Amino acid sequence: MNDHPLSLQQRHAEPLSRARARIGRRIFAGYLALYLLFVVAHVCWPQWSGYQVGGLGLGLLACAVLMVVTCLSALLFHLFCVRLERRAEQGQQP
Amino acid sequence: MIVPQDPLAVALFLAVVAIGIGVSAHLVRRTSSPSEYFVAGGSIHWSVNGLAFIGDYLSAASFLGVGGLIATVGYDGFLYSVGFLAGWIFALLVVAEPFRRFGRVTFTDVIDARFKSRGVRLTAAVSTLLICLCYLIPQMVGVGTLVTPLLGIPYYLGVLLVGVVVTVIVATSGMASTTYVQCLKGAALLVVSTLLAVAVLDRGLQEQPPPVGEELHHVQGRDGYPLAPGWTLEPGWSTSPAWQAGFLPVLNELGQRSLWQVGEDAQGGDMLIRAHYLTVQEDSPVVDGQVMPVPAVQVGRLTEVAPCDQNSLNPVSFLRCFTQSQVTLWPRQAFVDGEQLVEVYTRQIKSGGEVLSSGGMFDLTSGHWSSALDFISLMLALLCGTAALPHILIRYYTVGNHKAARQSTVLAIVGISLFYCMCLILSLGAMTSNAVNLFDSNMTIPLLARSFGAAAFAVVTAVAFAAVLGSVSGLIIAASGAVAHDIMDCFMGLTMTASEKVVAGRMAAVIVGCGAIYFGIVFEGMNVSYLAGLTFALAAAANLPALLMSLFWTRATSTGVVWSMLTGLIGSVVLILLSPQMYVRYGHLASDAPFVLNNPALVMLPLSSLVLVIVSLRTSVKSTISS
Repeated sequence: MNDHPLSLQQRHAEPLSRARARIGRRIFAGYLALYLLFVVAHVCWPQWSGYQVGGLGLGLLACAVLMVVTCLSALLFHLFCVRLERRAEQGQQP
Repeated sequence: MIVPQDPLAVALFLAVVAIGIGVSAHLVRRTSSPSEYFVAGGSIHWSVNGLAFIGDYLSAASFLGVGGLIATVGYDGFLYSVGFLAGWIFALLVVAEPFRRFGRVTFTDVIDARFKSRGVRLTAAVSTLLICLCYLIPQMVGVGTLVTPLLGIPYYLGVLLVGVVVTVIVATSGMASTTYVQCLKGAALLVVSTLLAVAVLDRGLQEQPPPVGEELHHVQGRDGYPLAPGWTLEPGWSTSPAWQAGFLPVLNELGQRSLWQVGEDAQGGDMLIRAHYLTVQEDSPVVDGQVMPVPAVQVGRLTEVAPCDQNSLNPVSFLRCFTQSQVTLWPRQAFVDGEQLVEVYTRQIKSGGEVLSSGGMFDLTSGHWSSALDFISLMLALLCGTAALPHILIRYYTVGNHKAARQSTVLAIVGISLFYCMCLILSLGAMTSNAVNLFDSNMTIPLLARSFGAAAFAVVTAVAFAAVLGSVSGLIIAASGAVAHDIMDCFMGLTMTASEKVVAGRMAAVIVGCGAIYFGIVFEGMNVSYLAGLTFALAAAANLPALLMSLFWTRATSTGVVWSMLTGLIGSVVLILLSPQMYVRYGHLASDAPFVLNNPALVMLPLSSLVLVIVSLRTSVKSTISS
């Protein structure tokens, strides 16, 4: 098999693309932390999902929060990217 | 389950088929080049692509499977929704950007963009093909489940009929027709699930008495147990495996066997509670002692409703009212009788709060490590699986630029979130309105619709059928791309003109369609959401390390990528075949399975990543020495 290794700089040469990828990875890191917390809480303290807050199960509320955060993360990423792209169109370095 | 055919349901089914084939016939002229056939020439508008994402993703596994799972296991079924959605964020934030930059037509293009290796291309193409085939299984099982009651035809004929229709749609105009079918289906799915959820909220929550024959209270003096006139205990009942498993075996006047739980009624007297059981005799299912036609056992009712204002139920007050009420659940047990596995479903009365907390599927409170690992494995598979599903990722090529790809994904995430919220309401509605078929949870949402009348059932079934149609067509186009573009064109180097490549794609679509039909028939009866979870594990283990490392790790080599993908593919398939759920499928007890987890992602994802790192480091050292 012939490998043609390219440096990461070569592969992600476009600054705008690199900037978008960087923003994506940062938002994902935050989201991942929340997701891991959700999973770990179920494993280590499974009873918590049954506790009730305002007549609703805490687990169900956590699911709802995670779903809302998912939508907000996607929207946030899009808004940041739009701002970057607008700057790039004006000739600024992203 | 065979029910009388409703002319409206049949008409809507035929309308969906006609629209699918009509769209394909209309767009056939737009598929003259391979790019147009496989990715619609990148000419799709972002909003259409976003709805097509929804249509592609909200397959039978979501519409039928997640609905059925929540209605049978409660909160743990809803965790699938959370995991499925998390996978989308991973795909959007981490994978989408480089995927669009380095690929053209298929998933394999991206992995091989850096290496230009025939080995990588072949392995990635085989992986794509296998994952698409595996994901086709739950879709085909779902469609067979739907079409059987709708048209009153046997399951295998339903799978065959739909398989042929969808293959025709894909083979004629490829991604263009697939996209528009998925777009229409995505929009229809959101509208119909919203309307159905509004109907559930409008109906509210009502207490129901136990159906006739579910409980026996009056002592008849037969062996100390309260049997009905003409019924007897099975000879040798006290030494039977059923009794040792906790069930009283009873024969009715026709000699049919039923199993009962012994309990106490409110006055402290003996009470028998009917359990429902399933065995397999000569490859045919036997439900509650009846062979053909297998009776549909519909369960799910509220035994006590909390005081709440039934006239103003919004989603939050509905959930609050459900949480404070008492509901019946039917968890599954199994025992071996002779050489036969008997699956028994027994009634439990639980508070809504318990149903909406963890424990229905994963016994996390017992502290047993295998349940915890199984849960982690599933959540890992769902998070990582979406970002490695070839049929989802190739949709990033069907739009013109990065911005459109991003906008369509955001639209998809919002739409899918809304759908899963509706799905929770629908499932709880089914759980409280006698709409859960014990032996086929996939029919939960259509049965819920039937509780609102024949027209609702017809519409929901047609939309569910469209859901399967859209997803299957997306999977077939991805698989045909792997065969025609990756293997025949790029790997084998066959010299083909543009039109010959399109013909090769169409032929590949027909072959993949035949495979889908075959597997759909073989896997009849399994929960489609569970099957989809396994496909996510396969995709996560086989594709994700290779995709991420080839994109972001400079020292990854082609040999490392090949070994990682092979490890992920073969290892996952082997572990799935040795898993407890599959052992039940073979007719053995789940506890006999040599591998304790139902989902292999927790083992295989780290293992395939490790293989990639070790082999890459070793091969890069070798190439440095030789140079």
